[in-house]
Amino acid sequence: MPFMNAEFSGRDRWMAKLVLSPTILAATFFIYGFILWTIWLSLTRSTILPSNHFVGLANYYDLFGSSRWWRSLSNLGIFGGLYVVISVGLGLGLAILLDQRVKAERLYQVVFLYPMALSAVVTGVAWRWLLDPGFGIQAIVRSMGFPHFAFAWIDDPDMAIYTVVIAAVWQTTGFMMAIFLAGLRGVSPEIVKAAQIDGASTGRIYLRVILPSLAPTFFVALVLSVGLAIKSFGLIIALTGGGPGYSTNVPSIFMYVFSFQRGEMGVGAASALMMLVIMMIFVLPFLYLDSRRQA
Amino acid sequence: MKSMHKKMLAVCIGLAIGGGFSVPAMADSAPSLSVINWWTAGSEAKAMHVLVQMMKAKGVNIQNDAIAGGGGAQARTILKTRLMEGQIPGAAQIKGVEIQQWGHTGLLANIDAAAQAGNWDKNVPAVVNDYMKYKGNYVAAPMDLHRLNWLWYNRAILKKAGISAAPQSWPELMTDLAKVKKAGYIPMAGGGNGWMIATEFDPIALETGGPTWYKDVFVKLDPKAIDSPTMVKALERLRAIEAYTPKSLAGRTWNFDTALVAHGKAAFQIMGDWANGQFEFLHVTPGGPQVGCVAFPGTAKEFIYNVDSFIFFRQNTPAKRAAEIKLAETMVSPKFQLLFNKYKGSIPDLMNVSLNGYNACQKKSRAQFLVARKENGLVPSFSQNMSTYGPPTGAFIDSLDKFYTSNETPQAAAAAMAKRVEVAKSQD
Amino acid sequence: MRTSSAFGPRRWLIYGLLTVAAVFFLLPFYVMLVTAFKTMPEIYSTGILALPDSLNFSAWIHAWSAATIGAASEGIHGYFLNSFILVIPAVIISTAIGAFNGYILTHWRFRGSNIFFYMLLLGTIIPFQIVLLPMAWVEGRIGIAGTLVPGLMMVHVIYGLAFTTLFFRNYYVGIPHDLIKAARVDGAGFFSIFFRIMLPVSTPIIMVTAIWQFTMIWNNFLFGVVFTQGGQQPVTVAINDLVDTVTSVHMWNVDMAAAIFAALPTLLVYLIAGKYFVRGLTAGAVKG
Repeated sequence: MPFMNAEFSGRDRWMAKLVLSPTILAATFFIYGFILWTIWLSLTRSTILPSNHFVGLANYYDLFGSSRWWRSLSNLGIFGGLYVVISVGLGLGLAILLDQRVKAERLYQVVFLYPMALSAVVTGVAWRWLLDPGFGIQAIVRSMGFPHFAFAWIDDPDMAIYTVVIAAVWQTTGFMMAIFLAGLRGVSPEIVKAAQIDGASTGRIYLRVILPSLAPTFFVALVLSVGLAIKSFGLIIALTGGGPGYSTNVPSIFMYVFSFQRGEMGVGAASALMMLVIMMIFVLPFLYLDSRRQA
Repeated sequence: MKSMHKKMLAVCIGLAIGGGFSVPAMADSAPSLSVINWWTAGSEAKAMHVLVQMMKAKGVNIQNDAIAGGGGAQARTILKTRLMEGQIPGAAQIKGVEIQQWGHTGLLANIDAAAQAGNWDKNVPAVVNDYMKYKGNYVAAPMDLHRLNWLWYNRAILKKAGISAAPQSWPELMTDLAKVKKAGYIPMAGGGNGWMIATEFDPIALETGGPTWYKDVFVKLDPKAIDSPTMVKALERLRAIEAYTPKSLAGRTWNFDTALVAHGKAAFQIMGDWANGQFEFLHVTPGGPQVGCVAFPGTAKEFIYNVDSFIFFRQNTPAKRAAEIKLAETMVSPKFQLLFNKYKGSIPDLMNVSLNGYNACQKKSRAQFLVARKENGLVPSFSQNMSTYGPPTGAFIDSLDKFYTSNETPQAAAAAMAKRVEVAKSQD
Repeated sequence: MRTSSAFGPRRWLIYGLLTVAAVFFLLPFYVMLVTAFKTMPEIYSTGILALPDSLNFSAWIHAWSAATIGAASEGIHGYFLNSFILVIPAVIISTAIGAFNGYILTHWRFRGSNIFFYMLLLGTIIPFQIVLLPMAWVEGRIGIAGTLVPGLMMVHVIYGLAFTTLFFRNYYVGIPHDLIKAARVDGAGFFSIFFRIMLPVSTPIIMVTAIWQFTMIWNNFLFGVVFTQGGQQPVTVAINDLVDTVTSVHMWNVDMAAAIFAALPTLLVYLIAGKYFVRGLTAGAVKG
């Protein structure tokens, strides 16, 4: 009875839209509505509180005239680039190692994953101590008989951003490892067997057979790590406070400091929109690829 | 969930129509006053608890909204979001020139009644009161009076290094630092983040250029005074101090430095009088047999001050208005000020109360404040946001930090500082 | 026991590399742990890697029940409870909505549903700082400002939806549409298909989503500090109040002990449910 079925599914289609509607409303208002509000704020002379005094693009001129903002952008480039490459690379490496039928695999998993469970406020303190030349890694290595060993990046405005990379890699590599381990476990054993029968070495099998089949996994890992890089905030605040000076400022810190601490809300809003634009540049190609795969 | 979303849709439309910012007159269910501050831990938090108890005895419920982080950055965020929520706090910890900025918003309450009841005009120094007023009316209440230009020293180390008395001048300080180094101790505990460097530079700058130049630079933001031979000299002196500061201590906070002095590992520390609290915590009484305090060499007749204060917001009910006045009165009452400042290491804003039970350094602070007031030696601390508003202060701190952590020459640093401050001025 | 031939140089290399990595990952935790057992004089006088003189639990007890945080000197235990009160409903609600959304976006597609999904994904990358002020405005208007539940919970649910929807959508894409078609021919409706066909196979992705949401919400600081007040704050805010002060006395042993307490629930979740995490990711979430 096709007619009856069609009637029935029509009511269900309506139900599906109804169930989805709260999310549609929430997204429209709480994501796009708020972005529109921020756009408006960035065009006003808002200082310690929002105002409706329209000033055109003045905040954007201030923003791009600020050496601190340019430093924040270049830091994001350095930090984001290194962080994404290292955490994805290291995560993949650890996943491959764990995939070799390792004893105590779950123990290793937990050891690699646990930094995700700790609040950044305090891991920042622990890392600050470790990176401190006076009593951290430098002092420990020196006391082991290498008196000229030097590792004082955290005090060096040109190097401090790399300590942020270390701590951020430490915090989320385990998560990347879990994603890749999952991907590896999802590779069909048949194609691996086939390659083994052809006499390919383990390294070759990974390079030619397994990794190419992990393309969707790379997709997810890259999207998540790029997002984490751009949104990094708490850990940097706890580790370096954005310093020495403003040498480890990134856009998220710049935005927070200007909006809430310095009372330059208009400039802060302008910087937030620039952050969003940067993220879009990274994410849109991913969405395009995804839509192609769906089609 | 669905009805909640409907509500939000209504709000969405409301936002679209109403637009912008307004403070709604919302009916308030809780009769208590929220007090936003960043005194979240240790003795500072305990002092706030005392305030809450004292207010309770007067029939006023205080909600102590203490939020730590970034030297008040977090608390400011909270203050702004509360105002957006339409939840007007009773008072918020805002100090220095920023009080004027808040005055412009029209949100602050007139608390002249409290000032009259406590006779602040007479009992509190004018230099403090000036910050508390907006267009002639009191809108804020002071809590304490901190001094920045202190040099803390370990007596035993000085003795071992052959130093008979604490240094009184810059050349003496240099000689003493060299002697301590020779004796094998850390000469100066310090360095670290921008805040700590700026806190150390505060007395160095005052000593180098004197009060008039200090105010030209940090209050008037005069580019000629900033990019000047005096600034170059002050920066050279910061370098000279830096040379006696172990690089390796940079990651520690000032608390560690204080412990080094207390435990006989470092001879000197430049730090504000909040170090008193840390020394007491380590069971060492400043001004006692182990650790001494002296005005930073060359600044005995001068006083770099920092005053913590609370601004008060307009309330929509008479009951809340009355409660607010009571709160302001209590904050500046002898009983609370004596208790609070003993914990904080500072001195009361009230000059007419006796400092029984305070340590020798705190008593010295009061005596030297009175001298400095007569000799025109009072200057507002730039490092503690007392001398100017946010962006220029940030520019000074950023410049000093860059200079301290790089090989920049003092000449280049002074020029860069003047340029940064100019840019920051235009940002407001 | 393995034979020596099985445990050859290659195995040694694998275990060697894993161990080096494990040391790197454990080092900060080790520092936190030993510091929490030290007394303050020990912290000032010994190296950061040095073992404590004795197992001193006073910092732990102080952190749990006596440390002065905000308005009271009762330690973090009350805030710990707040975090549970917040996280449990927030995780359940956001996961449930995400499951329905994923189901609709894969098997009840309509014109524009893909566009909507991509628009929703922007929610995963929006800088959270920009939502603070407008969200505060909204919460004030609907009268839930400053509350843990529903105020803060609502914020976490809204900004978690993009993630939970993404996870379920990617998982449900892998379930053959013919199954749903067949059920519809048999007369099953929107809800009965979900509860009879989708839900029974969803355990792995529910675990992934719940673990992700639990971690994110439990560790979140920014929303917690802004949207709660008056003793309703989650534990991350309490930790920050302890640690992040400038002009007061620091007790690092208490800081570290408090931080480890705060991390325990998430650590337990990883220990108990960790294998589901990888298994659930395997089952579909990472297949895109």
